[in-house]
Amino acid sequence: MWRRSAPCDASRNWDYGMSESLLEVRELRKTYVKPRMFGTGGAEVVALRGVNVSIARGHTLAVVGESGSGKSTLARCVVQLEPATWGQVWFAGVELTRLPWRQLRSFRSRIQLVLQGASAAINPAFRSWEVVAEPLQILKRGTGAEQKSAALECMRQVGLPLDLAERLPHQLSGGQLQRLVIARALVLQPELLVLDEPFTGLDVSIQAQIANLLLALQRERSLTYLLIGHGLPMVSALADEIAVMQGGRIVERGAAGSVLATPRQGYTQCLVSVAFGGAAARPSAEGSR
Amino acid sequence: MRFLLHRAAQGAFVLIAISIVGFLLLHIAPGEFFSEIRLNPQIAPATVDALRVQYGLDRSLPAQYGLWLRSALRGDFGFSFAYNRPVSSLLWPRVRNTLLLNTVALTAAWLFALVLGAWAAAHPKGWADRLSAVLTSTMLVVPDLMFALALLMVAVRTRRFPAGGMLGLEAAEHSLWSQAQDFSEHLFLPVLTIVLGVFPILYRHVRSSLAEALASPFVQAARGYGLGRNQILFRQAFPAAANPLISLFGLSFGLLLSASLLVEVVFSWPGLGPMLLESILARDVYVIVGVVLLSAVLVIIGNLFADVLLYWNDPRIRAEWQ
Amino acid sequence: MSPPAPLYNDDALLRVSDLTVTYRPEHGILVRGLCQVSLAIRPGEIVGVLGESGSGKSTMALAVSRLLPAAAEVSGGSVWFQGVNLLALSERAMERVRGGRISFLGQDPTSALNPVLRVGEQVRQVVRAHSDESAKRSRETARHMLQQAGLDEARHYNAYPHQLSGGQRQRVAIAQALVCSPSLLIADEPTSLLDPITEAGIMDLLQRLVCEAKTALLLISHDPELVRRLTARTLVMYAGRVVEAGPTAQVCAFPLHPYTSGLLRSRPHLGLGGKRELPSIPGGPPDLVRQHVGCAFEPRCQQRAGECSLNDPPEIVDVEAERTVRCFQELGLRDE
Repeated sequence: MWRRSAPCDASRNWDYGMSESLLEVRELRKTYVKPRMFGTGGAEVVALRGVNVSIARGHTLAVVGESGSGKSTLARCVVQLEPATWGQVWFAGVELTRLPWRQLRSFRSRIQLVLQGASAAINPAFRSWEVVAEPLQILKRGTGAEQKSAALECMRQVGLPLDLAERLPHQLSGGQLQRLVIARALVLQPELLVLDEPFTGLDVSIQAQIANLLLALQRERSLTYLLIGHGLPMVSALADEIAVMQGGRIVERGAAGSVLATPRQGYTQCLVSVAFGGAAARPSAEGSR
Repeated sequence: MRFLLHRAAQGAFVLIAISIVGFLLLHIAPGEFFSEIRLNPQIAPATVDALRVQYGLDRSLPAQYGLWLRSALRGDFGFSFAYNRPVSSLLWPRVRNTLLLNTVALTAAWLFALVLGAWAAAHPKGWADRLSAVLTSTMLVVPDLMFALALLMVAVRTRRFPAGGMLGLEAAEHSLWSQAQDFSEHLFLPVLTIVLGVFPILYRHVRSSLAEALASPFVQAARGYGLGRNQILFRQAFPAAANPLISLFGLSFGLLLSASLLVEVVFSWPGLGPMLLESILARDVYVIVGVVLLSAVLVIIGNLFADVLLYWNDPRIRAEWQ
Repeated sequence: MSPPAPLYNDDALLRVSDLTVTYRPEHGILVRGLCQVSLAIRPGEIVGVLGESGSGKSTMALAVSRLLPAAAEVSGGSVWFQGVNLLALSERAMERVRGGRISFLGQDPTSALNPVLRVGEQVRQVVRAHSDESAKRSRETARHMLQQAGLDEARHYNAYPHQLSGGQRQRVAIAQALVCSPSLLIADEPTSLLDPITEAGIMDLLQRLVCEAKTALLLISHDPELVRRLTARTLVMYAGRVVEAGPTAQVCAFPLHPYTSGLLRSRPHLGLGGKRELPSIPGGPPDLVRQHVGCAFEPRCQQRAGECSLNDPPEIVDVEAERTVRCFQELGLRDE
């Protein structure tokens, strides 16, 4: 049913004017080296092989792919949590990858990372409002009282009732924790949010609520999103563009509607047909999944 | 294989370090072998000095150590001033006796710990579990020396067990069977003392590792597939709980050796313990270093053995090394 | 309220009637796990249980195979399986039932496998637990089952869990669950931790295996799409109660309970438009600790009325269509 075409580097066909795109990633490569016990060198794991993406201001780019395709690595490298082995990351016309550490700090408040779930992302000893206020404390902005009121305001905006402010994280539900993590990302008034699998592990009805929240926030604050996800259904409600990653490369990219309607690459076709309820059409060897 | 070499190299390094530290500590302690003789007015100081030169005690510390190291690498561990014999010939029979005592005690302690620990973990909060918890707490608090002296008193009062030594006086004249009997009578109390001292620690670790394994998700899944209690305990829980226990096994070598040095002195068991005590009191340098080193070798070999077991048991460690 | 006879035939493989489970943690407060849950499964049938966190779906699965933690107790109801009252069996007898007649497949394949044993050995242990086959025969059986589960048995029989991917581990778990040909397989969110393509592969495998062996499947999930595609009948659970039940096609096309309709709508369908707001159910999952007066869904319900907060809604049964719903405001049952 779907035409199979040779894998094309679709990213090169995309052309954003430099002035429009808020984030631009060029030829990003990342290789991990697993150190050996004796001697130097070791097993090399190539996580990213020359990734090119760009996102216009106020838009949402969704990156989907299987585990191990390099999506999380991409998120971490964009946010400068990890240094890339090669390539450039441009944000609002400034090359982040070349900045010395001290100057990078001023950019950190403009790009924020939202991690999946809370078990990895929240200090369990802090109260909820303290979790949200933590970035302000780290960057030493405002007095204690100002920080607390900013935190409470953010919590209100993400729909968390104020009586949860004094609770500890383990007393909140999964959906509430995800909102908390989003609130924390918003407190520094960022322009770009990188969300790493924000829906995984949440109930279906809560996923819809979080998705609506993200949409509303994008409208109100003109946020730009880089959304990393597993599956297509959830991102289809949020994304302007979709990029599909496989083996460290972007194998297909385009406007959300056209990628979903006419996927050209084999893996994308598989994802779409699975999302529509067909069998896994991928001719993988038995047992390799 | 690389794993083994790595661990063996580590062991050798540790041995050298121990020998250096041993040497250093000895020379920090005041006095030397000839201090007492010096106090005797009948011996001229010149004689003492000549003796010192003969035994090499007038050289600087690093020089002494260097001499010792060179001969040690050839197998000659020095000379005992007190016994007037080479250290090696003095120590080998003692090592054998200590090994004997320790091996029996190790086996007994671990056997009891495994059986009782498994029972307690499989029946948590049952009577066996609670009773063992109370008993082991008590045993942990009582010092080894007290156990040793108490049992010695029992031996003397009841005359059921010999009060010390390894073999009876006329042992060599009797048949092999009665020799064995005699030997085990002598062995019983020292082994019991060591076991009483070490068992509580082993038991608690066995119990807690097994309890943790029994509470893990894969055991729950196994229950869901209908595996019986025994099958779960022996085929699923034990292999998973083995890692910390194997490490403990390695550690227990050291633990047991320290305990046995004390027990040997109290029960006059002709092992390394009494030798060490005597040579410390006499400042017999090379014997002391020899004993310390031998003890270290025993512990290191034990740990090496445990490391190999660990490697064999846990596929994840194997994967790390390949 | 006893279940009406025609809906539950006597040839049911599993019949759960008015099962009530409460959790009693050490510090006293009772937490409702299940409240008068009834369900029946016929031999070879695939039944889905749809519910979110706190709905009690996992509790029910554990209660049926008697794997509840010590803090939980069954305070009412009965569980009949092939004519035997499971709640009255001794632990020994229950061990024989588990794995051999009722099998359980969990959510997390990684933690369900023993990390120091080879996967083939773990499958073989299940075989040994339920039959007296010799070591050689049981190994053959285990190999065959791994092959059926889609793994390359030559390569994977001696592999350790950490050498396999998530999907492969779940296949091993499926092999363990089905190797002794149970009559009923309970799968509790078997794919929620897997990525979509692997998920599709695993569900295909499950479907094929249970159809071939005529095993009944109780599929528990929070994903309405999954339940819709695979099951013949569905139960929807909320706050420990069954709020709706019926043939899957009917429940998904014409949901009667407001929660069911909200749930079905909040899952986005591809091809229904691009960037858009999704219809969602306001509020969060129910708090099971506080004793709730009236319907548990009432605070989040769009169709609530006065009586909803005062009394527990009754169960309304439509015998012909084989549907039940527990609601005062059900969205138009046929006999109205």
